[in-house]
Amino acid sequence: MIKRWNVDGAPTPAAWHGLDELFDSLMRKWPELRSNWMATAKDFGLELEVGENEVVATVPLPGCRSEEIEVEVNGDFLRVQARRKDAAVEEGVEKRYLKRERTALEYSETVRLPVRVVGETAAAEYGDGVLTIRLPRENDQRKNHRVIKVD
Amino acid sequence: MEDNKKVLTLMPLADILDGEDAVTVWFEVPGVNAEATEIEVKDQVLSLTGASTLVRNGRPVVFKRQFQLSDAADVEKITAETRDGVLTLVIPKLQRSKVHRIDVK
Repeated sequence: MIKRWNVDGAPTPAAWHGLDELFDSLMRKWPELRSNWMATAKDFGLELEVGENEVVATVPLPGCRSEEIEVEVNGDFLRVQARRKDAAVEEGVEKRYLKRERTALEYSETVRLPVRVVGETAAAEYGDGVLTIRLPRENDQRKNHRVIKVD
Repeated sequence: MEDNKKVLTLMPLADILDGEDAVTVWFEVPGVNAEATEIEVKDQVLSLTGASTLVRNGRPVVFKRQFQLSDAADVEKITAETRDGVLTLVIPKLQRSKVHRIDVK
């Protein structure tokens, strides 16, 4: 389950959020549908890589600072929230923009992790606009492994 | 990096701000540092290439974009800086392209 929304100042009608989510999920499932010329990093958000000992999540968050990013592991769910400042708005010269394409000032995404992880020992680092979260996998497989008797 | 089948080429998103003395462009290039960035200007066309540490769908990401600069751009004095996955280009305007106000006596 992936829930995602980006807010950029003005509120967006609820119907658009639904359409956005539908379009995003289609494009993520079949990225080849989207031609390369229009593809941006926005089309490739949070990605999980499940290894033998850990799950590594990478999220492109250009223009943020580490103190503006929040990462939360709650059971099987990983939640990333970020907010960046707009330098031109802070300086009061935002009206002189010729083009505004950059990603939203606020980002929030929650994903369900495919395997059990140990949230207490998870680590996150941010560099060059990419957030990398390392989540060690739970060693105790007893919770996942059950022998079921057939009567 | 030149093997187009393996590389995922993405267009970096940009904000462009028109200032009095210069035009500032911010490109979003997550995973790209200064060493992995190539910028060149030829015939007033600015070309940007940035090799990212990001991997998506098993393919390393490369950011590419070209911009046509106006004749008013002072190409020799363009400066570039990367920070937190954002490349900032400052393109100064030539003196002759600036607005000169003339007092009427």
